[in-house]
Amino acid sequence: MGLAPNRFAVPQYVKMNKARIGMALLLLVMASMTVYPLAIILYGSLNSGVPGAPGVFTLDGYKEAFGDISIAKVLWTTIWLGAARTILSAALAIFFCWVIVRTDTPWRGSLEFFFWVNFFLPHLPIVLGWILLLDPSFGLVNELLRRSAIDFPLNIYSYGGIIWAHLAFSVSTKVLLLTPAFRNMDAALEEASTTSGSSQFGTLVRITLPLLAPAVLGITLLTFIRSLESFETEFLLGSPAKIYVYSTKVYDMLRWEPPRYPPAMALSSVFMASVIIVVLIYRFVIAGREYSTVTGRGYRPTTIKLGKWKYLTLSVSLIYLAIFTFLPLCVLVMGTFMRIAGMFSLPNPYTLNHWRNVLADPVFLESVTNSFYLAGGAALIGMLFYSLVSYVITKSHIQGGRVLELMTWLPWGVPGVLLAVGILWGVLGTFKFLVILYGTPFLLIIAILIKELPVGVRTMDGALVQIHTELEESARVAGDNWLGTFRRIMVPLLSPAFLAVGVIIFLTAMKEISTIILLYSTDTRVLSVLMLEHYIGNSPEKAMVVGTIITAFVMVTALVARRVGLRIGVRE
Amino acid sequence: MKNHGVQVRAAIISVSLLAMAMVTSVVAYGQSEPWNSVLSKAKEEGEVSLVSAWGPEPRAAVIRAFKERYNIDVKVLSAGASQSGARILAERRANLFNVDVAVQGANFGVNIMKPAGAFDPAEPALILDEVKNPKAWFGDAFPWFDQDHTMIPFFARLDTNLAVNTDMVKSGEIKSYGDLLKPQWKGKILLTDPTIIGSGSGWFRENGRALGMDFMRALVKQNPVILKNGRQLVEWLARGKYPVLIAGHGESLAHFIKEGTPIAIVEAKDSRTLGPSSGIVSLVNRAPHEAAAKLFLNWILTKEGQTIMTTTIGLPSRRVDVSTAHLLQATVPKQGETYIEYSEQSTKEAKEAEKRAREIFGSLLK
Repeated sequence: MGLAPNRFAVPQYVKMNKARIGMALLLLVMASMTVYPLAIILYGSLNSGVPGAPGVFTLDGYKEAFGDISIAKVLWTTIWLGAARTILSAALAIFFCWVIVRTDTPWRGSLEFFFWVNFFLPHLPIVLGWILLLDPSFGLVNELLRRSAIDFPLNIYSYGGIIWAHLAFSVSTKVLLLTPAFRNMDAALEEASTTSGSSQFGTLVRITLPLLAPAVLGITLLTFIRSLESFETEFLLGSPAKIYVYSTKVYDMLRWEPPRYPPAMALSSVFMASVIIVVLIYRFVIAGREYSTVTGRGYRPTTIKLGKWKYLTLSVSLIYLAIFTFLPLCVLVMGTFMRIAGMFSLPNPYTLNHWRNVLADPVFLESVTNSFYLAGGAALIGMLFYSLVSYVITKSHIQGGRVLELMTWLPWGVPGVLLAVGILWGVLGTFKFLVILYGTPFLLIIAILIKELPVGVRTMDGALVQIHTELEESARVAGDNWLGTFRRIMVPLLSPAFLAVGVIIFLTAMKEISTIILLYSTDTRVLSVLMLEHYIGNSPEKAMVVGTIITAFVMVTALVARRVGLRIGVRE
Repeated sequence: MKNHGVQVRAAIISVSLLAMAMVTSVVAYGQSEPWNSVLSKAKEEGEVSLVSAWGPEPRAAVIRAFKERYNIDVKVLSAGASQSGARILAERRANLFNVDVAVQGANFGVNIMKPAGAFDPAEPALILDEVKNPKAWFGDAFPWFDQDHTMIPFFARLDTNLAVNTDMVKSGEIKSYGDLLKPQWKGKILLTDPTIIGSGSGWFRENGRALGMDFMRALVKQNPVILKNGRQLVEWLARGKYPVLIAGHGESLAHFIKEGTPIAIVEAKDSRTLGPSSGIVSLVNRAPHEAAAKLFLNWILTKEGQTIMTTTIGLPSRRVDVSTAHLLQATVPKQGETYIEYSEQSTKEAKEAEKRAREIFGSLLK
């Protein structure tokens, strides 16, 4: 007996229209978050005045930015330095992810934890630490080499030095973003490979890596783009060797009086265009491939037994972490107890005064509270928002998905400080109704959400594309609705990625400076801003104290997240 | 013993500040009607909003002292000139008026805020006799920076632009900028980047008036190492990586010398400038807390306010009744001596000077 047609059922075309309206709304929100601030930068590059103020159309900004022949060298240096460290760090990160997730290497949980810590170490004091260790004249390592009669000083002020100082951060970023993808691998495919006679290495190259290609490609591209706008390391280590990159050039332009906004924005506009081209190439490369690894046939990520080799993988990981996490961390903490960081030659080099002063600052506690509100708010909203955007991009077939994806890349096309200028002028200039947000924590949260859009959405993308639609379809066939399917099927499978996104946004927000520097108020000052204030206020040692406190919060948060992750996540 | 000394000094400073606060309080409350009216209105407003280049230490001291003195909150947005200027002007274009008082450097006022018409004349807001009295100030004159009397510089810092490492340079070996042109200093001079805003551009602009552009061109031939990070340069000098530093970050130099590093300031006989550093106070117009702004302006210029400023920032006050004993004496100007003073006109020429600096030093930056 056939079922009578339901008079109240929603017709298909209504459903489609709802979906289209939803997509249109999402595109509108994303356009105001990403396209608009960047359009202001484009407009500023073609305007004689300060954006937001009257001016006339001109190409002078472009002439000024590209009229200098040295700009070609600057752009080339930016690209090859970024590419070199991205490739090197990607190779290392894949190895460490494999060690942590797929092998029986001892202490791998702790290894992962310290990669997290490494990722969230504040940059500025760490770079200062590397200078203290590797300056050719007074670096502690070079001093040891000299005493050992090795006349080969290591020079941190060089291309190699910049890559070295970046390496730790680049590797840990990729480890952090790639581990969820490694966790969601179906071992049955690898087992099939080994059963067919392939070696572990052959399986890694022919099965594991191709399956992980979208996650690896996406994250490598993401970190490459991000590396192009990196500033602190190049500023401190590049200038002495006359190594200039895009971000330091923009910084110089903004340091002129009056700031040279038109050429800075012209440079950034061209940079944004390059980012879009790179993203389109990426889309072209991965187009039409199938990357689902989590299907309804059984989903069992298993560990590979390494035998005695597991001690080698452990040793390599420990040596790496000792050099890139513990060493700079020790230098950072030591600096907080010295009158002048690294000046052991002073008569009485140690002091507790920096800690006393920082903790007695009337704005310190308020900054701690604000940091947690900002980071917590950004993480919570970010998890929901990024997963929604990612779901629409990867799983829906509504028109506009590709435009949406392209928008998610845009915020990393410009340095943070210029993005902040765009947001500031957007809020104060055009969207006047948003003025009520100015000076509140919500505007800072929005700024963080915009800045971290590429990493948040990519992390969710990496996890979502691995989940085959047959799982959702099975749930639907069994009578579950969209929400129930999402809650019962998707959420448990996506929990590692959810957690990763939440923690990344939380901890990034804790140390973010450039994007919020023009947007915070005296009531919304956060710890990272306080750290910068100490640094520009002639006290890097006190900046190191705040940096150490941020790092302590980071470690505790990472530890809690790890515990929670072990409970809710899909592990071995 | 050293800790005991520190504690005693801290106790003396605290007692002195308390005594000064009490004396000023008595004087203040005995002031004219305008003062009492400003005071009561300011208390109603309850807070004053500042933009300044202060680091956290002076900021904390000012917040505490003003709260203790008047029970009024001080909200301080700490940022450099370009950043705070861009922000305040964007706010004003959106009809947001959040700032009452600015404490910044000369460039902020002359080249950013005044062209936007954002300052009020400060003269009518000066009420306390202690502040208005010309005899209380260096050179027996109230220190107006500009013709419109909107900017009041309260620091008078002799520049520390020529510094040497005493382990590497013998006493008297370098007495002037001219000495730097000798062959033995080729490739051994550090210079803060004069092509972007900061101590390097200030040095080029102000000292360039006495030294001349021919000197600057000759200096380029000495192949100085140019960096932008002020602290990094001072550290390199202190560690003996280079023996000479031009236009080093003043507060960093003072700090390193105080901590016992082998650095000395050379009082160059051919060019010494007297500048306000980031110590120029102005009233921002359309202020949300107008009375509290006036109250703060008067207070920061009193002996009490200036003692806090000079103690926490480490620069000499223009007030002659504020102690300079704790300061690096090379930064303290002497009454009766002649110095090249920063002026409104020379600050207006900043853009032109930066352009000239790029022409001369640009080749060293490529």
